[in-house]
Amino acid sequence: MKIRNDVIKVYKDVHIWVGIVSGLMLFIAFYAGAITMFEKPLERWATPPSALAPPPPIERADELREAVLARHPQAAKFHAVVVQPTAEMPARVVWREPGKTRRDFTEYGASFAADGSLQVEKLARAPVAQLVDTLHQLVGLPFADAVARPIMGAVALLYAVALVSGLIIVLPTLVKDFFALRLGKNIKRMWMDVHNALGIVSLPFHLVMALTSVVFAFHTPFYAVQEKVVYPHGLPWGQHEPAPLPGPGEYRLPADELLRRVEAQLPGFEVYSFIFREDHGQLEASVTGLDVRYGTRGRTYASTHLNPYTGEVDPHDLPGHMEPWSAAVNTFFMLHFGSYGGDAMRWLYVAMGLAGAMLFYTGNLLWIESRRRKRRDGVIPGQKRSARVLGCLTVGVSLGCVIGISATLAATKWLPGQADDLAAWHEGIYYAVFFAAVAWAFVRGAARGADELLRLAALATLLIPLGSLAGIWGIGGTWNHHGAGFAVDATALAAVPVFLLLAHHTRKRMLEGHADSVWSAKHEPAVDPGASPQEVAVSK
Amino acid sequence: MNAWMVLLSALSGVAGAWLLYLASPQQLWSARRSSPRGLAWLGSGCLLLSLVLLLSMMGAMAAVASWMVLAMLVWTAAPFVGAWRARQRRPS
Repeated sequence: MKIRNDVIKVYKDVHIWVGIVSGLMLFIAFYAGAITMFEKPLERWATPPSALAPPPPIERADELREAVLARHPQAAKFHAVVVQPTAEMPARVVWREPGKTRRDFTEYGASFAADGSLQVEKLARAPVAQLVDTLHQLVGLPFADAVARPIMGAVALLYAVALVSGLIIVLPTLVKDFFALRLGKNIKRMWMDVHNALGIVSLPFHLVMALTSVVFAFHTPFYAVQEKVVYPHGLPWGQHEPAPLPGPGEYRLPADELLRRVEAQLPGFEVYSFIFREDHGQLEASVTGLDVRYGTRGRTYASTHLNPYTGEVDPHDLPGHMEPWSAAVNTFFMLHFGSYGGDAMRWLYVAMGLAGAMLFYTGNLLWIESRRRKRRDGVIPGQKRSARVLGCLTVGVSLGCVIGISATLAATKWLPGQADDLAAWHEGIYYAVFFAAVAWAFVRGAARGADELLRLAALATLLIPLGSLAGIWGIGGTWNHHGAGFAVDATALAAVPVFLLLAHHTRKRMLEGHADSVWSAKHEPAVDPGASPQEVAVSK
Repeated sequence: MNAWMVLLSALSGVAGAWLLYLASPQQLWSARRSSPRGLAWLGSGCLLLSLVLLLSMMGAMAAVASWMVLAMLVWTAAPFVGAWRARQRRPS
């Protein structure tokens, strides 16, 4: 396909600058997003053990529910029967008490003590998984949601522009260079091929991510426009069939019977919980769970209404049973969350997310390489300040994010015994490490900084399983859940040699690679870019 | 979902995407490229089998998305694996 050179140049300029502006924020979004694919297992691994007695069997769930409502009648407004209690949701019956805002609430769980008395505990889900998710959602910006989310939306728009402009740039050589990866003396060519290899075939994945992120950022204005244009009488929020009333001789079914009836109606749908809301004597119920054959527009589960007296499910809101338009919307968001295909698909999304992070990282490397001042007549010129600054930023921000996440995860098993406001501590640790890494990269330069920060990343990541190991021995208030979360420790352990290998190659490049580069330690980085070649000290 | 069917669809998907990479003129895995057309047909067949198996187990959109993500991942990794193999082949 032929495109005029001047047109290609315009798109190249657009691609370069939107990439430079948004690339590092997108690195954070993708790295944190890859980890967020396993948000629930991470939360399970990170949540301290509950003091509640083991949950009673589901056959006794209603007995427990009645005991809770007798002691805490306010729980009637929102309570749930959990089908498979886990470390982060350790009770058979849980309920929420509202806080100041819709998203602000306190969760309680209940069980029966050995003597049959009611036990109640304020549930303390570990906040660290939510922190990683927030970093993903807000592209790592340390601002309030109201400020960071529109910026994230702008970054997502730039991302979409970068994808389209990047595609136009490669179109003339797309067929010829498809799958090309030329490793040779031309480093710029090599980084270009690496960047293209990471970006071209995964373009559909990236387009979905970009477009869905724009919707996530701007859904409130979108709804406002819809309300003006499409729904003059207001969006039909929460308008659904009124709660069913019991027929003659009908009573609320016990949880185990509800489970049997739902499983019979929805084969393949794994039930997580039943949620009950009582208001002025009317009981509403819904069932939550997931059918991995269809996925869901939520991150981890779907939910739909349920008649608590007959067990009849209203499936119209469930993937696989939706109207075509709803199914299309469901698919759009399901593709962002990877909430289909089970854990196998989540691992594929982890790999795609890490590859995406590398796409943005290599974009910056390519920019730096394109501006490299090469050796002339045996004299090594100083590199441009812009290249040095972007080199330090690329190393500091990317590895700062990696080390920050590892450090805050490594603190997970130690903090609950030492601190009260865990969320603030996790956030504080992440940003302290992140900004220290950025500062370190600027102090040491991109080459040395990358080597040292990669080693630090290996150390911080190694501390994650060491925290669990300490938990096995019960050192310093740490804990470890048997079985649950082993994958978190194993993954962290597997990442350690990867970081060390990268550090080894970075060091080799720094000592043995081209001296006329920001990635070399052979000349001082603080050379005045305006100095003549003769003025530039060369050391070998 | 039947675990064996899932495994079979994943293996045929990986094999199909890999064979199509081997059929490409830019592939680095093998020093001698044998019958690109044959590899392309075989690869396409494996990919098609993978899609059919996925469609028999999952909703249409989830099946197509799973299939595409698998192929995208193999095709993203393939040039790097090929380049690694080419380096191993190079006389030191």
